[in-house]
Amino acid sequence: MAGRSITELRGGRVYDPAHGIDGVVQSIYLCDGQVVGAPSDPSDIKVSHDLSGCIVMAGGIDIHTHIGGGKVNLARMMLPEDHRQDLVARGRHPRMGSGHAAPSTLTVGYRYAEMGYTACFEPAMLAANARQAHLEMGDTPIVDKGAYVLLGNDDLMLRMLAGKEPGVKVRDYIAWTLRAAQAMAIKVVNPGGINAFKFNQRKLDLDEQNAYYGITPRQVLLALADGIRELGLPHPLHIHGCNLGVPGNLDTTLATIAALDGLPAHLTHVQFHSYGTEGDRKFSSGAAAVAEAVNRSPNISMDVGQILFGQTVTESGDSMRQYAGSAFGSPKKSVLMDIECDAGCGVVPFKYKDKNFVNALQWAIGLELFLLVSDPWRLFLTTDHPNGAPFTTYPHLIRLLMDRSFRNDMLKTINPDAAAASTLASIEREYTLYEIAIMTRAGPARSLGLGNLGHLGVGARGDVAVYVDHPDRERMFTTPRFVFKAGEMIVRDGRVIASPTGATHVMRVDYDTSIERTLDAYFERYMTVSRRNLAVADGEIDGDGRGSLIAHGARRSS
Amino acid sequence: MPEQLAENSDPSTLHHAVACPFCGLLCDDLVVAETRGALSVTDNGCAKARIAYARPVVAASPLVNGKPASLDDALNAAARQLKRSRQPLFGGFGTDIDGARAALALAERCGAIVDHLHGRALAHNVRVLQTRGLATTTLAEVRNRADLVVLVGADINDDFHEFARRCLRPSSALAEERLATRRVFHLGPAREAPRQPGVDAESIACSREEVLDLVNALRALRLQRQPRLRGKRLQAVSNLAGAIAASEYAVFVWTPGQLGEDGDLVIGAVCDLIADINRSKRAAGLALGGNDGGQSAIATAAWLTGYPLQLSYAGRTLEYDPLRYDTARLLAAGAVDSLLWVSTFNPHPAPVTDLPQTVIGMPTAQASSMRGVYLPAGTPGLDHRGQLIRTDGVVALPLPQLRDVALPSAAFLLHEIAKRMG
Amino acid sequence: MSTLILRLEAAPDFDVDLSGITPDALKDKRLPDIRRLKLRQGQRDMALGDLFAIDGTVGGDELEIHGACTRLHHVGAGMRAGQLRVIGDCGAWLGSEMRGGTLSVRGNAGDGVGASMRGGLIDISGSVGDYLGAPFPGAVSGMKGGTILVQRRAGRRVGDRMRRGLVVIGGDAGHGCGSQMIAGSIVVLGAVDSGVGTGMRRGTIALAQAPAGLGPGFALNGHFDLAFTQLLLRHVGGLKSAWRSRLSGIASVERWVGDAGGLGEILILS
Repeated sequence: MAGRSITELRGGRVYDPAHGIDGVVQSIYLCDGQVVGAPSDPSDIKVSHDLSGCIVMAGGIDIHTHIGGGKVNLARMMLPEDHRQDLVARGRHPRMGSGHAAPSTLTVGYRYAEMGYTACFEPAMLAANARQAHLEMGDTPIVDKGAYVLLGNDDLMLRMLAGKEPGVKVRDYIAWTLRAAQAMAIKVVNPGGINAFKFNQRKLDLDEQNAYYGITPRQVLLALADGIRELGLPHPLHIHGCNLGVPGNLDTTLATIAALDGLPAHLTHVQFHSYGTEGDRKFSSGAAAVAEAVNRSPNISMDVGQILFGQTVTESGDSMRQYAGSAFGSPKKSVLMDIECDAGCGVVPFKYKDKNFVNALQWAIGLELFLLVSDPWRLFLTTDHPNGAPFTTYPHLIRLLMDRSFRNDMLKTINPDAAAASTLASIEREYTLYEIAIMTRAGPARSLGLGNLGHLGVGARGDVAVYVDHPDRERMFTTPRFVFKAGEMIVRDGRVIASPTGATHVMRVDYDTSIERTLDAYFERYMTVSRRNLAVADGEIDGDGRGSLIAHGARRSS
Repeated sequence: MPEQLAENSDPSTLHHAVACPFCGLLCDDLVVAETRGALSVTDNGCAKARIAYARPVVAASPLVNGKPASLDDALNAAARQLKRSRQPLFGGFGTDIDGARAALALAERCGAIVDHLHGRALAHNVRVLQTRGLATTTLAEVRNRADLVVLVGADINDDFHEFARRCLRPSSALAEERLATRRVFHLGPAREAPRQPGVDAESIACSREEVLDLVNALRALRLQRQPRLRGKRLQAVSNLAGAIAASEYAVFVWTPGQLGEDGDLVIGAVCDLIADINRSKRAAGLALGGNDGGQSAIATAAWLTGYPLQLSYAGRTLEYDPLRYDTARLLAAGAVDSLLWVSTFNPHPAPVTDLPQTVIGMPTAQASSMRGVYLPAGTPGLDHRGQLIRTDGVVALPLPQLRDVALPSAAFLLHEIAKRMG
Repeated sequence: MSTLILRLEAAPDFDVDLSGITPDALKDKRLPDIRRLKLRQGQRDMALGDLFAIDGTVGGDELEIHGACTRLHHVGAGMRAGQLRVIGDCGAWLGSEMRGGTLSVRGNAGDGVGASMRGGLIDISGSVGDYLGAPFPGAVSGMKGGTILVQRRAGRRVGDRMRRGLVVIGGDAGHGCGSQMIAGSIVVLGAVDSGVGTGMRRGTIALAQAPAGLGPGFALNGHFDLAFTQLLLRHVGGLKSAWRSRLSGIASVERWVGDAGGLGEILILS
């Protein structure tokens, strides 16, 4: 083993939940981009960093962040006034850019890295827009990335369900879509509702029929969740449910969990789906009921979609709900799109105000969910960037979770009626660093089936975040001491010092290719591109040295 | 790569499902034959595409001040020119996504201001997006869901010709009943109404200048106000208002490049109309534009910088200014001291200027007489592979390489210049 | 008088961004610090003192810029208080996002004068370019308050999407004057080009000369002697003596309402 070049991260306090390591002082060794065991020959250690007083975790993984694709880019174009408040000066990063609510791709990559994140997953890629989404992600430096492709509002899926096509055909279509869009998982947004909106339906409850196809959201959910389980995809159906943002939607959320009846599923930005109708203002927290349902449903995982106060922009595939929400947007401008018989999108700038009852209660509901859901392995830390808040607020959010007195101080500053309507003040739980490491590293990696990411065991990729232990966790998580990506130091004292290109993660499952003939006919007959041109070739992602692909496979059936 | 079928004794190669880069529609159903570097469209595609594919390849040498030079010398000269320049302008921007990425990287390197050949037309849509937002749709939605399509001052006889066959009157649609009853209106000069067979547009004839007035008249009618119009014109507008009221999914199509200097006013008025319809029914807009890689250029700039071109890298931070960072204004005001012009889809000459310039793209008559550097480049989708974004801003398509004529891509040349900047 | 004076030494080769050089921003600074203030000319950072000879008195709330030229952009942008007097022409975005104080120009100004301004007074002795009082990039509305006076002509789209405030154009106004107005008042004493008030939601456009035509969304509402108009005209007449005589003969007002919703108002003075 002579000539090995090992980097030693010496004596930090390590949080590696995948291996049950909870704050143990130990050294981590990196070699050839990976975590390796302690070298038998100490002379192999070519570089050693003294990490005493430091916290060591795997690189962060954001399981739900809108970083690439048409709606993100529309938000960028729409908001020059927002960029102007947060321009990245020449020299601050390897390339210039702009930040805040709809940052440029370059700035996204650098700033995630500067917070210790090394992988980000775009949750709402459209098959029709997949090429552009990958181009944008390809220009997002440093971090690894991947995307979930939308199904369930495409006219083809609804026609298949209306035509009672056999489940195996639906599965083949799901698998083909994953491959064609180069996706990591499948997401459904307002199941069937985006399509219904194109036929002028303004709401679609779980058991309400699409006026044209006669299909209900329940049917869409079950067909997709079942197909995904059959295909053995590690990440279950990623569900943005019906009735987002509607007071009383907690019932829909509970009914959705019940409808899944044990089928694995991930419910996303649940904060926006946990609203009751109690109180004078007919708007109340449903967090307790939703958390309880999640706690007793081991098949369900979720992320919160926490809101934090300030200006942001909401970007969603849910054109139906975004249209309804555009009346409350600020500043008053919005984009609504019907997209390619595939999906839709809406972009609505929004300002969450701490003195506004609804916004303040939304803030409290998100925190209640965080604190009432007991299993951090099934709960991931998100703000649904940028819908609840830009991802750069994560350190602040972590402090809210870890520091009860800070949380209660903040609670005192919000709309007093909202504060009074929330149980937040009475919740004593404070997240531990171990739990934070689960929610932001080990949990997402396990849920997505990322194998060597999200942990620090031997063989893991050398993505490591090192923070200076500081009682102010916001400060601590804002400025890592070091961040390593594939063994290379990329951030020192919160500043990017190297900008490697991250990989794109995709999921590959086999399917009966005869589905392609069916699709060829459909595309020829109805679409405006050919099926083959819609599909994104590997070379478009990893050609010309621009990026690389990491293909994951189905979970082996036990 | 498209499928390649070798015909029996014919030396030509047939390429199927070829995406056409010559207008923002990016029709991808062309069949193109290649015979020893000569291309001809044998199926689908419009007259414009047929002419563009059939352009002969001109063996062009790089030029420095009008004299043939080696590629290396020409690249060095281009880099020297940029290094000397205190305020370069990158114009034209007629390239694919990779070319746009390379141009923006080089612009950052040398502090350039960047604009597109169709910058003003693209800015019309952007201005509406930034001040009020838009409700839009895409080509397949028009094809399958629309029961009413209104061409608002849009002439689709030359540019966007295939919109008629592919979207207005396709052979089939998911909602067959809507296709069967679909009505198409044209608002604008009668001679600009669509002439494609089978379109049968109902024409509301008016001058280009009157288009905006008639859209406002439509809005007034919807708000139960009587517009100040008379006779046939009132009848025609009322007829359209009736069609809108009866429609389930109305699509309003505009062409930013044909709307004149205040085109954003027409788009804004149409968007107000769409917003009004959407309160009770469904409607959406569609811009036909983005030629010469325009849609790709603003999209690429938006993801890399946050801004849709018309931006400057000159300062410590990016600066977006759609009023000032306009090619014609900058040249007229003498606010720049060199020009880098890229035009690889069409031989658009650089604007006339005394400034030193580097031109990348198709050979033009001007190339041999200009002061500066000329670098011949291939056309994406013909001479090299590439990617472009369609006019609806959603679908990006891969462009194939159809022949091997040893013309470098604009992206390659721009990277090579950047390497030589030292 | 405590006036700080900036004299442009030589016309700059490239565009200069003067945002931040306002009386309120300089008020509490010492002369050497003012000279060192950073500016950008094209790609180069430079000091204010490299471009301007600076003298006069510091500590006051008056600032003068002499020898201005069209390469100077964003003059007075974001100004909050005090007096800024400019002698010479200016480039684009003069007084954009201004909140208070008085900005006067003896000369012409370019495009985007008073874009998205919220308060204060801009007074221009010459002509201006397009988009006076219109939105600054990204803003959903144009000027939201304050007054802009232009003694000669204005280009296209005066007051596009303006929400509040008063604009008076002493000369002619170009195409689309008052386009997409949300509210506020525009008075044009010269001739107006086509497209007056197109797409306006509310607001008032008073024209001293009848336009060649109005869009079909406007309907004649009648001839009036409206109290409000008298107030407006008296106010405008009080602003410049030339305007007072121009307006003195106004006897009646022809009122048109539109554009689509019928709440926009065009007053033709005669």
